[in-house]
Amino acid sequence: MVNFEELAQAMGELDEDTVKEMLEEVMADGGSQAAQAMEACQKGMDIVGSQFESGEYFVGDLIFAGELMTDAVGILKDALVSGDGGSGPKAKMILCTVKDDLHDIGKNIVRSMLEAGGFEVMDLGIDVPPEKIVSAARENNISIVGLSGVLTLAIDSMKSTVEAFEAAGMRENTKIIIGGAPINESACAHVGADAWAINPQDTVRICSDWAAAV
Amino acid sequence: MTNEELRLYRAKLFRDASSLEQKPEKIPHMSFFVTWKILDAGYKLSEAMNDYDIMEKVVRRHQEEYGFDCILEMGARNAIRIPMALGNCSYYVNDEAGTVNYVDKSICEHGELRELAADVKKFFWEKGMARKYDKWANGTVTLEDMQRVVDEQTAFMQYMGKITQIMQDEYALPPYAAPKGYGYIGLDFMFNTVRGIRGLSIDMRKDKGALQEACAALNEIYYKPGIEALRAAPVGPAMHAAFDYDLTLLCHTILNNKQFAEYLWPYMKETLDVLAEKKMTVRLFMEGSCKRFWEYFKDVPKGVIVMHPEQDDVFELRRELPNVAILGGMPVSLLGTGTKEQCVDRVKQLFEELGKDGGFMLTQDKMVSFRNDANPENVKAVCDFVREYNG
Amino acid sequence: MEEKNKDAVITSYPEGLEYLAEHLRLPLPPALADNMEARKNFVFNLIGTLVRQ
Repeated sequence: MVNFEELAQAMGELDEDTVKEMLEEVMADGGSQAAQAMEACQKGMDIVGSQFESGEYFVGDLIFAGELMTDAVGILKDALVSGDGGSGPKAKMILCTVKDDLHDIGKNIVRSMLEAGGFEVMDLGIDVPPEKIVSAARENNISIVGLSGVLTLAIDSMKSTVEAFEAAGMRENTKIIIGGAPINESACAHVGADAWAINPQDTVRICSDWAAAV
Repeated sequence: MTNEELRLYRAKLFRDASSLEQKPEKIPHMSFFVTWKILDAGYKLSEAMNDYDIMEKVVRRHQEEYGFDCILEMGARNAIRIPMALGNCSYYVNDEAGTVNYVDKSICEHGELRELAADVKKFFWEKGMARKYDKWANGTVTLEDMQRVVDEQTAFMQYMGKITQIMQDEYALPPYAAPKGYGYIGLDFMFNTVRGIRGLSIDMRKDKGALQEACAALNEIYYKPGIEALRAAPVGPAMHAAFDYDLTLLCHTILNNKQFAEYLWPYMKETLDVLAEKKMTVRLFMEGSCKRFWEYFKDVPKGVIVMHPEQDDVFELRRELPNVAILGGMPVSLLGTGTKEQCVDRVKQLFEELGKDGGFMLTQDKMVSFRNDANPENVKAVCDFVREYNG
Repeated sequence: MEEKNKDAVITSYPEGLEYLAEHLRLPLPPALADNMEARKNFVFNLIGTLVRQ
């Protein structure tokens, strides 16, 4: 019988062996507790986030946490109902690295944390032009968009993306958050985004507030 | 002043500023403009990066237009021709966007760390090369291919020697650095080349022992000989150059504090200790933010570290580390989207608050790469102000 | 054909290192031009550069 508090703790401590052992046990028992196991992993990711905020963990730990979370989902997926851990419909959002930027590490970390935070994330990948982001938002009826970029030119691409939403008449109903190495308050003002974040926990918090307000 | 006198004078400006003991006569201004200067000169990136004559024109024009006291990068990106001689390159040049992106590629799997540790040379030769170069992977590489690689490397070294000489003789610019040895820290090598960002993050948690062995093996070949060469060098700075040593680090951007203390700091400390003993200076550029590691530098004697912060606040740096000289302060964001007045006001503030007692050298906070990174008018305004301010 | 067969050794270590060190025209100073150790060091450093690029 798996102790889910211990599972959450093991996830929070990035104890890969213990996490996988416990998840294999859940599946060996028939998988009926897969949803609780998923929830425990998500709690573990919250612990990871707190450790990051306190300075104990850094980017490398978040990357590893993302990998471990992906592995966890891989172990549990066959037993999870509708792929959502049985926790009900999730808020949807788009995430991508903007045009002319090929970096994805930060985006992938944020994606893991957003998914752990209950979001269904449509990851459009890297080097994504504004029109593709706008189309994806329109076709999937998504009103929260996260833009990532590491290069200084990403700021221009982010600004073009915001302008593309304006041109499409969708800006008022879309919340846009930006993040990445060159991003700060002045970049956010220049881009015309609704928010900016330098760590994934802030991104999850802001997007969760937006989702709750809808 | 003759060109030689001017060149040595400029070098002395950097030396005096670095010392924190002697206020330089003028505050020196270094160029950290990289591929931007190619676009500013009206060339495509692929044109200049593949043609040494064009790159020479670009560097000459850059100095003629703006007038710096030292130029850090004079065509290092042209080394792209070396791997291209073998048919592959990790840099992706997009002329339309004016961008150069580096494709993060790991040459070693996590499960191969101990194999790498056992024989670095064999691993690089057989597996590393095969993962980077298709011709190596499919066994079709010829002696002729490798001769082309040798010739391209020779041409690149000749170009770098030539451009350094031109800038010294014709433009009176001191060379940026003159290291007497170089220790490439194993962990940074793992990050940059062997495992990449994602791979190293996994290794840190999954199998510390294997990672430690691999780092130790890399240090034997790439770190220790360089540090020994530095130890064997005579005491005293290379006064003809702006700095003695360059330490550009990236791997700390993923390390938590414990990992930094274990994997990186011991080697940084050893390097800094040797440099201090030799009375040499190091321009230290730690990508992103390194504020959480500043405490480590508190006991380094004055006159050794010249820190070039990318994201950290230079004024806070001065308060927290008064033993460290500062190179930097000019935000690329301002050069790109600010007004001339804002740019000049920023320089005034830097000069008045950081430069008034020495210990400050001006340059851009990050490598200036893309067209919109800097408005040429802003760059000119800053350069003109620096010249006027300095009398 | 024979040349092609000989080149097949290039990707193996240490045979490839020996082969390249022996047959490449290297920009070494005259005093080191025939020094096999220097030649092998040069070639391995070149591989190090290629791996890092």
